[in-house]
Amino acid sequence: MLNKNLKQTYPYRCVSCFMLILALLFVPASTLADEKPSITIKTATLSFQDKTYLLNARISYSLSKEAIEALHNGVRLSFNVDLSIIESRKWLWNKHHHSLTLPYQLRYHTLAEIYQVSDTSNKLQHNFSSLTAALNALGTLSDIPIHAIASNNNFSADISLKAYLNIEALPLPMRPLAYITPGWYIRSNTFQWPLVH
Amino acid sequence: MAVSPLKKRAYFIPTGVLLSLLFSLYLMSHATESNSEFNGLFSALILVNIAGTIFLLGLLISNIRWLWQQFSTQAVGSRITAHIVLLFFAISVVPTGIVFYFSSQLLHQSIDSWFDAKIDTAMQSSLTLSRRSLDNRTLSLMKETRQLANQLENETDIFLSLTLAGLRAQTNANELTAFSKQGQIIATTNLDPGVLIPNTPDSSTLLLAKQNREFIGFEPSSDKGLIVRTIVEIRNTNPKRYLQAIYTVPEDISELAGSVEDAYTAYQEFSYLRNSLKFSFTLTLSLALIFSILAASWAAFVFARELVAPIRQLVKGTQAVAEGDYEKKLKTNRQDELGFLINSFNAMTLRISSSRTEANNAQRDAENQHAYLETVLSHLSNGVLGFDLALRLKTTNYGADQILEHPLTACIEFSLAEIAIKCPELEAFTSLLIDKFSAKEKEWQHEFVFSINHQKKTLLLKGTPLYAADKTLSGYVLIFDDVTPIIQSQRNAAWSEVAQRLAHEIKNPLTPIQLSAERLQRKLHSQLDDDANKVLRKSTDTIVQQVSAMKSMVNDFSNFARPPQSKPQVISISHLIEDITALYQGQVQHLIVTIDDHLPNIYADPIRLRQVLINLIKNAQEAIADDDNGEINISANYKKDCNSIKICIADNGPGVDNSDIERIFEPYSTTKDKGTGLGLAIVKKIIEEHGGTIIIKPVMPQGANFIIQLPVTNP
Repeated sequence: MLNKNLKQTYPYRCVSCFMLILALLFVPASTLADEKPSITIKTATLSFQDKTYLLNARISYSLSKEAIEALHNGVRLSFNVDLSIIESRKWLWNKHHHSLTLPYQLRYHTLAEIYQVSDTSNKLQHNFSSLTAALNALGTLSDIPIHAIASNNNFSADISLKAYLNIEALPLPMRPLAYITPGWYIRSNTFQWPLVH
Repeated sequence: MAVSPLKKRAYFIPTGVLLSLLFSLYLMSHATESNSEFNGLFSALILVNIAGTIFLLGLLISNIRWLWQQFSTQAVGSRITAHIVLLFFAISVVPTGIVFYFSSQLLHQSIDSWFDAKIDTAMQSSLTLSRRSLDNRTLSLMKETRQLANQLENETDIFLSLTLAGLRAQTNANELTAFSKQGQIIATTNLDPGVLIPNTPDSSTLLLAKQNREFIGFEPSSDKGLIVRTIVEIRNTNPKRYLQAIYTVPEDISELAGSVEDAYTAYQEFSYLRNSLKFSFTLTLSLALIFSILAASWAAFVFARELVAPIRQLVKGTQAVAEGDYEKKLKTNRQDELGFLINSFNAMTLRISSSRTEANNAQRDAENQHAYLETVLSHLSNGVLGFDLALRLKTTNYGADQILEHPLTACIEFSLAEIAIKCPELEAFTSLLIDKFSAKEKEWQHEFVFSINHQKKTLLLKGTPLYAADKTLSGYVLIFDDVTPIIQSQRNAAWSEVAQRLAHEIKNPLTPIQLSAERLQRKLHSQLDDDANKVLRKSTDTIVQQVSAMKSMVNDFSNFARPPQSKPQVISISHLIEDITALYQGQVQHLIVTIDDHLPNIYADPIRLRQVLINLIKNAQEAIADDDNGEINISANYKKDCNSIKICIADNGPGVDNSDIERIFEPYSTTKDKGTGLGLAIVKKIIEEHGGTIIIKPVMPQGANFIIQLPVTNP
């Protein structure tokens, strides 16, 4: 499951980076500079219990009007939470030991008039009668096991966490415009803290 | 022009980019299909296409910049390149633009036609219908939940789970859960005993339930069906308790509702994506359009460059030929008409080059011939004059100038009549030539005597017509020679012979006459009386004196005929003149001597030159003997142009008649009562022996001036 996620992540990330560069080229720099992060990672911890690292995080999602409009028109929004174990090196660039993506999806059920939050990797879904409740649930990560991190790592590393809207998961016709529209630039800053063994 | 491998290689990258972009566009058009496997690559393909387009744009800009530079520097072929590029651009832009416009219009209209108000209404209605259908069902389920809640009135938390399990068995509910006001689960029961965690409501649902004391709603379940969630406040409980019942909607209804919901959502999404869809298609079309125009423009540059390269070569070649470089060779591997043109140009330059070489050789030969003739003519003592048919002077030589004593070189292109006007002394000469050449004789010869600069000259003229290569008459040539010295030398030779014979014949009897007279005086001196002695002595003295005079005259004759052997040496002519004039300082009242400083030394016989100068000064002295204002001017100066020393001895005596001037240097030609008439003849002979000349010119108002020119020669 994890490996599959890793495989899918890399090309999409490359494309995302390319498209982001393109977006930066097309969108006036001042527009993005003034834009506050629409996702804020409030807290994040990695605790070690029963030989497994457990991730707990509180992420605050805030959707733009474009995203909300698209959601209410049947477009499913995919959010990724990327977790990386980074070894800081003095003379070389930082080394990424592990990268893990936790994919989530948010959709609006027209018939039931409810919001569905799906944990795509675990195939779990929860229904919410309001968007606030759905985003609240989306931003609550409780005891997510991170098997990729071995307990016997003896290097000093940092954990970085960031959440973002996956534009590549949007319907195909929306992607070009999404890359150059600030309203679709929904992402958090990288939240980083040291890994405590 | 041969395209170098480097240039060929330079086309590989853009061509590769073009093909890649073409393939990328193909993939992109496939990716827009909803079920395409390239769907995920759409963004990457757009990026690749944009990057490729930027590359092509850069290529085009660099080509335009190159063309602009070519155009600004007026480089050869820049105009034709610009014309071709503009033509290509126009040809590619107009049709592709039209296709783009109509495709775009068609696309937009087609997309808009997919969405219809009626379909919108139908979809909305079907959704409402589904909701109503489910609402009716949920209302009955709500009633059922209320009844269950009523049964739980006054129930304590301890017995609540047992009661719930009993109640669930009586109803169709899948799950029954009792929870507190804060959402804390008090008791729960599920149809599936494996489900330990109940399906709890979210905070907002719970809030609604607390506010309204009940809540009803349906939502999708995890197994793609629909469930109905009902929440009712349980009365008479303290603290407040809520009962949540979850019912499963029958599968057939769930499927139908799900189908309606899926269709509606898909339609709604599709409708929402209408503008995005238009944008994407327009973007794809625009990329294809830009790509086509850029590719066509680049191809136009490549084509124009390939086409113009041989033309540019040809222009450079013709410029080189115009500047005289006939060795210019143009390289080409082309087999088309331009290649043929370049090969023709090379053949032309080869022919011109060989013709030019031949012409140069011919010209060089002609120039050599001309130089040879010029040299011959210039060193020829004969005079040569060339005339055209209008008797205009075309050619002359140094000999002609010397003989005629006029620089005829300045009269080139002058007609004979014009020459006569310019040089009046040559009038008789030019008149004769006009008569002779006008007579159209084939060849003619004439001895012509005329005076020039107070000298009588005898010329032997020979005229001949000049024919061109095509045997047509092109002019006349006159060859003439000054035969005066020959005639003079013949005359001198005759006089020498006469003088020698005369001296020999006269000298022989003179000695016996003198001896006889002396003997008569000696023998008869004692036999005669004084008177007779006086007569005898006077007579014998007269005889001896006259014999001596005759001997002296005979010696002069002899000297004229056989001059003593010359003994030349390097002498200073100024010292010689000063020495001689010193002898006459007391004798001549007005003797003016003017000698230039730094006169060069000459190689001459001082004794014979002294004889010349004394003779001339003596002549001048005799000329002014009867005049109290008589004056002799002697001057000497160096003539650099002919490297000779000019000595002038002038007097203001009575001078010489013009009729005598021409014959004054001939033997026995004298204007004096005394003298043999050989003095000036000997003077002239000595001067000529030294390679010089002597002439006499009248001095105005009266007098004569002897001008000697002696060449400055070294031993």
